[in-house]
Amino acid sequence: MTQRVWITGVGAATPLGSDFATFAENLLGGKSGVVARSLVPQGLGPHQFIAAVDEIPIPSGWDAARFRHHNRLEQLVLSCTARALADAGLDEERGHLRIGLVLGLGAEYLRVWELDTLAGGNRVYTPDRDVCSVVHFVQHELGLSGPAVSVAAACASGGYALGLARRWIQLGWVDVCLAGGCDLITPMSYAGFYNLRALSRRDDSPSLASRPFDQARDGFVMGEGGSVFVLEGDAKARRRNASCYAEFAGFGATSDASHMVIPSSEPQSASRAVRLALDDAGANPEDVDYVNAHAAGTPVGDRAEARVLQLALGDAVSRVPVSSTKSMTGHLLSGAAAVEALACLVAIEHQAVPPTINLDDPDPECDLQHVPHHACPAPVRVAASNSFGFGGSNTCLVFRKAA
Amino acid sequence: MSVRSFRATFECAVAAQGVTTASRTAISALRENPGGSDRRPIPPRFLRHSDEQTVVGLAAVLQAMDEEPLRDVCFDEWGVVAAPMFPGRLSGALTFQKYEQGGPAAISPHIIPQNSLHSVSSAISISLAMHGLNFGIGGGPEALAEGLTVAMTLVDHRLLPGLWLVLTQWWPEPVPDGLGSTQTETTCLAVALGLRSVESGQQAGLTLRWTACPEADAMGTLVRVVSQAEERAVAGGTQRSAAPLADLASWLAEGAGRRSAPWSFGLPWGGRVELAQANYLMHAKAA
Repeated sequence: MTQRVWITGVGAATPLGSDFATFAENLLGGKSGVVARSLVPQGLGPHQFIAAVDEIPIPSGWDAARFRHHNRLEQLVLSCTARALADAGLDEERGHLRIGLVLGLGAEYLRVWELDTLAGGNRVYTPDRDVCSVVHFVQHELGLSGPAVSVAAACASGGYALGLARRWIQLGWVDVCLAGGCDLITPMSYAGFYNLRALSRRDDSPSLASRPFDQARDGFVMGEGGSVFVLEGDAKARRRNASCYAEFAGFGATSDASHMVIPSSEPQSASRAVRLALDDAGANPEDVDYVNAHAAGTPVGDRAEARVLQLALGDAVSRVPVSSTKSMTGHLLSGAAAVEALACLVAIEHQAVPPTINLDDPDPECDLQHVPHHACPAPVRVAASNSFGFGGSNTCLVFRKAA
Repeated sequence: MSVRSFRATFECAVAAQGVTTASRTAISALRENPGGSDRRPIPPRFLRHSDEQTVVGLAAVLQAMDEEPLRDVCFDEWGVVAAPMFPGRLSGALTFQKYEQGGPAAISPHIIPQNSLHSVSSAISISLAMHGLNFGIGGGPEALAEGLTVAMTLVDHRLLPGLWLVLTQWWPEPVPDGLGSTQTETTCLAVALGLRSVESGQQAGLTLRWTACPEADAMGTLVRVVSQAEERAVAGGTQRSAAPLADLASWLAEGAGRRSAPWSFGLPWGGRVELAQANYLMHAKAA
């Protein structure tokens, strides 16, 4: 029989806060994390709207100067990972356990080379300096002994990381697995998405720019940050009487095989990922109490996802509350799936569905059971989270409340 | 102790394999025609903006798909995982130059979709219309170890009918010229392995197998904490896990009749991966 897998620790750094309580309060309070910043010095207007992480938390017991010496991507990943381990109460045990690490990091080296270039370095021209990737840097810093890998499926990266970590536990490959996803906003990544015409070009108010499912949406708002989770098998979690956020009950993944950037207009492949995840969780569409949608606020993508959910959930789609928390966090790219998994844990913990803010005028082609503006108290036993990425990657994660 | 509950082996069948090695000039030709039979036509100009490692990776998969064991196989639900090493270095350097000279308007919208870690697997999934999972692995000096580790834990006939593992890298790693190319004498290398679970009944000649180190088991610890790349970095060396992929390509190219021993590769987190003729491993097990 397949072993059940539990989430027993969380470490996060998001535009809505970097601890579970603050993130939950802001998420359920419908607060926008989007601000105006002068990120790109010239050419794209006086400021850009982004959802930023102002200060990456230093993990308890770490020397501040040494921590800040690392580049910002290393700081972000190390912060989330170390604090997740501590949250699970495994900080002291890590030397005795085979702990794996799976991180969704979509464009790691492009980010690292860019950060270095902007600081006046020439690392991209010096291959000999690329001796250790971020995931192995973190593995080494934390003294972890299991396998450590980076995975990438663009905006679905964190979904694959969590799905793979769960499988490693079920196969007996590791005792415990840290998994999640992180990403940063950099000037050139911003410019790349801007030139792709994927970003919102609204310039009225930052907090109004990210508006998934709304008629007036015109693209997404970039966000940064991430979240890392501690995954444990049933037996181990019970043995040490671990406190659990939720069961990570199901995972599904498929590919559109359609286009490198544009989601398929045909919903079959993505809806199959949702159904695979529900089947894996032993759940029916009628069992789902909340869907955290991928919906980033692009005209094409939100409509495509509505069709996906209509096909995957069938008649239940008229009842299941659906929201996009990207309306508050922005789109964290490689970090999105992990932070939206965190939003599902908040929904389960607080028995309330987070809202889609700025949803003033729902697009009639996104006919779903929306939760506009304000969180809605509701029994949430099963929550699902969709993530769809460039390259046609579709993942769905299903979480279930601990009995 | 964790070792007691640790699974000691993973094994899967290699249904087919392809190897592509290409110079910069040869890559230009592969962009136009990556090869393969007519049954899988690649859309014209599909590879125009692709990373070089995507081009050779796809060519290696197309070569493997034409092997006898897979000639009549339907790949619609197969998955693909790709482990490139440092994708986007050449185009990244060009992008940074353009940004410095022309500001944000000069940044290509193709850099993120085409030169990131997911790009190789995505392009292969799309071009061959495969609807199983697809994602990128590694991207850094341990890409080979990461790719083998992940692929072996995903091969399961209950999840997927088959999985392409695509391993790519430049060798040696090129120094960019800032114009999107390099003056380094280098070739781009790809190995594609079509993997199926042993339960699927695939009786092809090669088997990929991971085993824990017996001596490490006896000591009660299976792993080293520090990766091989990190050890070499600490020691001041710069030779990383580059040769193993070239070794694997050479080993595959030798042909079944001439291989005297398995290809073997130690993982930085413990255990070894072996690629061998299935009958070799059966004899080894019996012994």
